Amino acid sequence: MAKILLEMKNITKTFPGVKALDNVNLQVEEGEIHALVGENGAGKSTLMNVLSGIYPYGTYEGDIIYDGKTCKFSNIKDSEKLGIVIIHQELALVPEMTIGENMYLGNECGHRFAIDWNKTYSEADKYLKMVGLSESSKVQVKTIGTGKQQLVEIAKALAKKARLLILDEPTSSLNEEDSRALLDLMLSFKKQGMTMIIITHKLNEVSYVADKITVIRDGTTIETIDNHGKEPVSEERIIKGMVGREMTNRFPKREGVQIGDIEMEVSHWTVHHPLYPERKVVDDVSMYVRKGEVVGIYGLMGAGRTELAMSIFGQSYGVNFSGELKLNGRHVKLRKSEADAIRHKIAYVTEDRKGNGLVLSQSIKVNTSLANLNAISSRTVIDGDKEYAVAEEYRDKLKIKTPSVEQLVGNLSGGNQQKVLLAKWMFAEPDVLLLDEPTRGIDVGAKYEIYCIINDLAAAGKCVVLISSELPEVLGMSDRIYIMNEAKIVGEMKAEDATQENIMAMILRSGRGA
Amino acid sequence: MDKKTILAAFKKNAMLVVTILVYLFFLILTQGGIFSPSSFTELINQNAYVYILGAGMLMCMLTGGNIDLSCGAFVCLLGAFGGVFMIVQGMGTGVSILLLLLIGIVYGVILGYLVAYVHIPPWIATLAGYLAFRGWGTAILSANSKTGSLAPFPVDFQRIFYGRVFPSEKGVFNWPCFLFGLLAACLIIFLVFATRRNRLAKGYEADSVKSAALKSGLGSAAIILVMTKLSMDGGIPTTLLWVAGVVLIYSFITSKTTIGRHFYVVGGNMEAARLSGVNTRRIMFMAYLNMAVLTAIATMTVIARSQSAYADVGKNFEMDAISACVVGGVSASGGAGTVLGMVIGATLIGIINLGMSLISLDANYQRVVKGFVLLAAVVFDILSKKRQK
Amino acid sequence: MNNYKTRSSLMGVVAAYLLYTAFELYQGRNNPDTTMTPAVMILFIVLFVIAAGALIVYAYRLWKRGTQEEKEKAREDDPDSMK
Repeated sequence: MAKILLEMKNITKTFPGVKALDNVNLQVEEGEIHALVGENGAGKSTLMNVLSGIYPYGTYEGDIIYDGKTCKFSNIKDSEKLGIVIIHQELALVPEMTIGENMYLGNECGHRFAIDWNKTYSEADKYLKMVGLSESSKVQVKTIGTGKQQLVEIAKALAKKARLLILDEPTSSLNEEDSRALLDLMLSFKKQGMTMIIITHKLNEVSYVADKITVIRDGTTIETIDNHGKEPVSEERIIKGMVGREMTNRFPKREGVQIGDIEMEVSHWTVHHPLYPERKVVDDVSMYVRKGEVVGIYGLMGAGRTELAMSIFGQSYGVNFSGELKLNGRHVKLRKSEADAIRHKIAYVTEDRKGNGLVLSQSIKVNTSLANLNAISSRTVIDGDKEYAVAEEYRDKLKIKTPSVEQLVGNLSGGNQQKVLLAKWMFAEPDVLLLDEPTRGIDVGAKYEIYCIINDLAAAGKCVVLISSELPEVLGMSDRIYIMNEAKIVGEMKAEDATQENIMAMILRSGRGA
Repeated sequence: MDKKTILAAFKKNAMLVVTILVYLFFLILTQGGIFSPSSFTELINQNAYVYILGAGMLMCMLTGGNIDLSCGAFVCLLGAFGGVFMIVQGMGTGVSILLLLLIGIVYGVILGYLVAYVHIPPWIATLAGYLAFRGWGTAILSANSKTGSLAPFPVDFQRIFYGRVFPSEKGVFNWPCFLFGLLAACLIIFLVFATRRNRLAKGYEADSVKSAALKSGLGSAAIILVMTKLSMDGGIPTTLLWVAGVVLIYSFITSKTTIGRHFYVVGGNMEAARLSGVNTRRIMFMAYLNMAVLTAIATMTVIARSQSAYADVGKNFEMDAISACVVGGVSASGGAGTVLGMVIGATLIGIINLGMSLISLDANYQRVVKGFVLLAAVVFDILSKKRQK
Repeated sequence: MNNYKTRSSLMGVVAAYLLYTAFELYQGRNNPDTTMTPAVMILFIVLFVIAAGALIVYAYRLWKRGTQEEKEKAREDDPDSMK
């Protein structure tokens, strides 16, 4: 029986109102590649955050036993000192700096005030060779492709003397060739005794490299499967583990569903990443929405749903757009302007209400009228009374709990903030509403109220696009569901044909790689 | 009124109270000197530029704490140009004014473009002006004059930006000025009560009769006091009209127009503003174009007052404007700054400046006091935020 | 102006101004018209430099705390992310 390098025992982590991890157990043997699978929000990232020390000792219950000793990390540096290194999904390299500078950022050779650059570069070159890169470490990061940048990240981890390497969706931005190369690299590391945890949703990767698979769902460990059997692990087993939950009825019924003509249609919509223009964040997407319809778009994080919605909304994200947009049957060429999109009756309700949705330092009243100031002003002079009345109207309509609409939005609870955000966009009187994760981080009661609002919007003849990472929500609210993965639409089904399992299956089967 | 409401009222209007206290302090120190009619005139004339530049600086700050470091040096440069136009070249006053405004617009457009569309941080973009403009202005002045300054400006120019509206002889009570004051006072009382009646009619909350009476009473009393003093000193100073005009216009813009609202949300959360359809780059552009134009106006009041263009003009102007906003922003009731706050801040600084020069305080000590005022404002801000938590 | 970015940058500006004032005092130290004794001058120069330093430190801490809080707030809504 091989030695167990890492054991996470009965880890429980609670956030206000939400139990992210509930008695999670994980055992990783030395020298094995352990796959961690689960949906968005399942808890895999939270678990890794606990392990790495981002959530320090004291903020969770349970034990981390590494190399036989119980660990009490207070920050990342503590875990890195023991050789636990995480490589994140989003590359954390500074494009302007050289490979060597990036690799030793925060970890410089020499003294704090006198960095030994010669040593830095020669050490860096050593590690670059280990990952199979022939570039010199003096090369600027922005000159090499994303595939190679990912390898630099791994080299960076090696330079930190990693013993337990955690890779979070390592092939998410790589093409087939580079993905394969990375997985082979992992296998070669394993031969040298490195222990690795790989977080991924690509089943082909899992069957190619994993020795064991731990499935996590809703904050609990479902099961740990051994991949050494004669037959490859069945997909169904993994999928059932990831999503096989009881569907409780927490969605309001849709009354008077009347679906009309196509209101909005995009064809062959392609968008590139603003910082890495060779990368497509939306790849040849074609979809449509009809009047009175709720269309769900499900996908894992990074699938491209937000990018799709934002790029439709006045090109507010991305570069190098191509494809067609039709509104009400007519071709429309939207300028790079959010105001133009609003004029065309499109509304985008952001997933990050505090970051770029609401102005927290201003009142509910000011936030409500923001997207349609013209409606409450005459010739640029704001009618204060009208504005007040409108804010009150939406406060009542959406049941926003506040003593006054002069209350600052920053002081409201998450659910009420989301309602203010919705109020703003409803006041702009759009025909198409792109809702991006509208119930994220909200308590159950407020969620239900927002579902009712969505139903009312659809009943009024609006087109609602519901982007969500919560499978039950997508299934419970939509008439039709698109499934997105890696910038493409990989499936479309009617709600009555869809189940949690067959949606997840579509995603898992469509990944690139081995 | 019980003790609690008095205390609450003090807290809300802290800066106003401080201003009054400082005034009383100097009243004692100057043995009433600061209460003389000429002091009132001097306060307005000496301080006009702070109000005008302060309005522009406030608009820049609203967009997210951005400032303009170049306005003082730009005043020097524009003053030099003005001197060349009106004194050396002998061009007409009207033409010269238009040209100066035009130069202001040109600078504003360039600066606005660099800040809004090229995304150069404003403090860097305006630092360039701060470093370059004074040298340029001084070079122009020395090229055109042996003494390094140009004087005097034509009389009609001075009359537009300095002097008195409806002037009267010394010692004669200036009735137009006094009547103007009475009119303004009545206007204030009327407005306060009319707004109150309006709000009550529509079913909103409004001030009680007591507080409405207090507010309008104090406001109109202050106006009558000021105008009476000015009447005893020869009439309405022309700069007062300019200052009042700028203040009223920008007060209106910030509180009642859509573009003013856009400024506040761009400063509150630029991304959210952008995604709500606000043209954030245009707002940034306008902020700096506006600042340049206001600087041009301020320049003209300054050179009209000093009757000359010289190399040191405009020294520290940017800091005065920033101080007015910082000191004034502290008094605003939460949220971002307001024009009224800036006015109070500018007035406080003006009183301190005037008071110090009336007691002939040593220049070094004056500098120390100015530094302390700013420091105190910042510390006050830190402490008040701490207590909020 | 309430958000931490505005406050930090304004504190930075004030700190710079205090340093500038200290510098002005120092520059005028040989001026015979002044009534300020060298001792008092040095006192104020030192005072202002220290105050400026304190402000810069406070502004820096405020900035750090602000970005930290923003990150935490973002994570509040989406606990299961590796941000």
